[in-house]
Amino acid sequence: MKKRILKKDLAGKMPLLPNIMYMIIFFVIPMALLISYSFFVNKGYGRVEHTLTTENYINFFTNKYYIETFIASFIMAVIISILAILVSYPIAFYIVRYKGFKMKLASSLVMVPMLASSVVTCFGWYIMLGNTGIINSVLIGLHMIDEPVQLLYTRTGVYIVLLSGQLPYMITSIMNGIASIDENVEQAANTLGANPVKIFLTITLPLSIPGISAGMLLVFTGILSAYVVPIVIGGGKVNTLASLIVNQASTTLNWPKAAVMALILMVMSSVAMFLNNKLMESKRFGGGGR
Amino acid sequence: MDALVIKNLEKKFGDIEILKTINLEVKQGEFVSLLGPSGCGKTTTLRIIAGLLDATSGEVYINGVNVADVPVHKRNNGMVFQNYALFPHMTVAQNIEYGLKQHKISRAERRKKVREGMELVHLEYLAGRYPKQLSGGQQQRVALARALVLQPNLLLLDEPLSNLDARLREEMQMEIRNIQKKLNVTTIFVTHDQKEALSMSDKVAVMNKGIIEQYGTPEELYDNPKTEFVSTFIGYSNLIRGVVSTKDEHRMLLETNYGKVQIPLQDGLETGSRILGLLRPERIRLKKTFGSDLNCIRCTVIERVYAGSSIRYTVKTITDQNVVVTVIAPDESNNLSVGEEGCIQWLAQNMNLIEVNDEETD
Ligand SMILES: Nc1ncnc2c1ncn2[C@@H]1O[C@H](COP(=O)(O)OP(=O)(O)O)[C@@H](O)[C@H]1O
Ligand SMILES: [Mg+2]
Repeated sequence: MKKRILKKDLAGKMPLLPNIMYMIIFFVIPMALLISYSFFVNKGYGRVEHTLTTENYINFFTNKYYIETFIASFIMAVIISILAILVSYPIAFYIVRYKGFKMKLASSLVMVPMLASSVVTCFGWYIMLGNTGIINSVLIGLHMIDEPVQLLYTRTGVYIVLLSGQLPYMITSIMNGIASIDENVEQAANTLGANPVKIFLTITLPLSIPGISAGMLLVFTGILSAYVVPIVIGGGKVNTLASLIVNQASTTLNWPKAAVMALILMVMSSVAMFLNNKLMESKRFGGGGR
Repeated sequence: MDALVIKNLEKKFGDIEILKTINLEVKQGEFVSLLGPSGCGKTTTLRIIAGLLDATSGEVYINGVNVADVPVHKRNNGMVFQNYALFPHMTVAQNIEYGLKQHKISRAERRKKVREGMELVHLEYLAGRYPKQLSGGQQQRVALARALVLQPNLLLLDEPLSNLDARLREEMQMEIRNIQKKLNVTTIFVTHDQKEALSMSDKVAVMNKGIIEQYGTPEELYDNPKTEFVSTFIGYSNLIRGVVSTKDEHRMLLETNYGKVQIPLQDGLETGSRILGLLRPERIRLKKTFGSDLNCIRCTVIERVYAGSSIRYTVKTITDQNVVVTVIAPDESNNLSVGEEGCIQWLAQNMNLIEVNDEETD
């Protein structure tokens, strides 16, 4: 009886086979390797001894430098996400609501940075942020500062470049969010006595939350795994979880330690994704729940 | 004082004139329908009344006040949108409470009014639900309650029933009308469904291509349509076209596409005047016999649809025109079969005569 149901179930799922294979090859196997490596003993130069140990985890969580870098990465991801929301929301709002040719142009311009590789944009910024670069030159020319401000190889510089790289994702997500708001709903609020400011605060903004949340997820996970920018702009002075992982995996060749860090990064991204999904499922945003 | 007066309202989108001199007067407590085909400007008119659109020219007076400079949120009109436009992130109770909050009504008072609003549309048991969890009919009720708790100057309804299935629609027609009477709220109801307009309204404004063709009670519109459009949009009319051929002290003779028709003398018509006669199917008599009667037009039955209490015939006149005739309570003398010959006849006062200008007939 039970077997037959099982068979029927399997037959029904046959069309899913390619997807399942894909998941096994590109997700399940690498994950299994990553997890098992994190419990192996490091023998240096990328070699491991296949005995299980929790030493790698204990090592990570008792190392002050790692924990600080971990917290700094997390804080950076949160701050840049929030900055990205603040900068992107007005831009997205104007692009969606003020139609016409200029706005069409603006919305395609927003996408352009997504096309360039991060290495290319990074070197562009590298030139602009230098002591004799355009930013310092302009600020000095405007007499806003007397001495060049050190931007290269600083946390501020890294923040500026990371933020600029993430804006297109945030703007596009928020644009989608705002575009899906039924304007009749805002007009209904208007007829019920809400003035434009009230409409924005009580209707438009709350209904933009799914778009904001989706953008935040993209930016948050994007920043956590950012690696080129911290290395090039930070010049080795700004460490992030991702740069630590690369260090351990390709320089120090301590693969179990790299595996532990990679898993921690994945857990953080997964938590962000989980929270985002929870929000999307909630009834008020049109999610499934009855 | 009239609750709503619209004077010479005109609206252009770019160069296209969507509304051309709309005039309308609605008394306090009246239920008025704007009826017309899709695209004729009903929604545009309603939105201008609400203040969501600006008129190109003309005035709107609500309770005697010209509202040109009154912003939407100060007009206190309750509007129900075609897609209901409920706030998806608020529960039923919060939706209904929204307007009360905007009007800074105290918490205790709000609670009382929300409860009354939900009772009015029988939704008490759904207070905590979100719009997504409601059926179309329930959403409709929430939208209605949300608009009504503010005791609005005008209740503006934009095709509120068009997304409901037939049975629910009839139920809601009754309910909306009952609520409207109970609260005595002046209501403008937009619809493209002539039956709905006739059965619900005190008065109907029939709109076509940006003008009001006729404004009157349902009976006036049905029995005495003033234009060809009104006579064909509301119910069915047979159209008789012709000219006045001769005229004496008492009667006139019309040469029409149905044949010769004699009618009593009418003001304004001269020999040579072109006329359009509008004739309802149930106002025509169909007979088996055709004696020497004047105004008895010979015809052959080409279609017969039996519906118990009535029979609907399509007959072809000897002038080769199709005429629809509804025989109510048929008996031996007027129960014809397809192919049978007979004659049609009507009382002159049952034919609406309109003089037409050459330009209008194209
Ligand atoms: N914002 C707009 N811009 C241009 N044309 C419009 C706009 N809104 C409506 N129209 C046009 O005005 C006409 C009347 O529209 P509407 O009032 O919505 O008609 P109805 O509600 O009677 O179906 C339509 O032809 C429509 O295409
Ligand atoms: Mg409409």
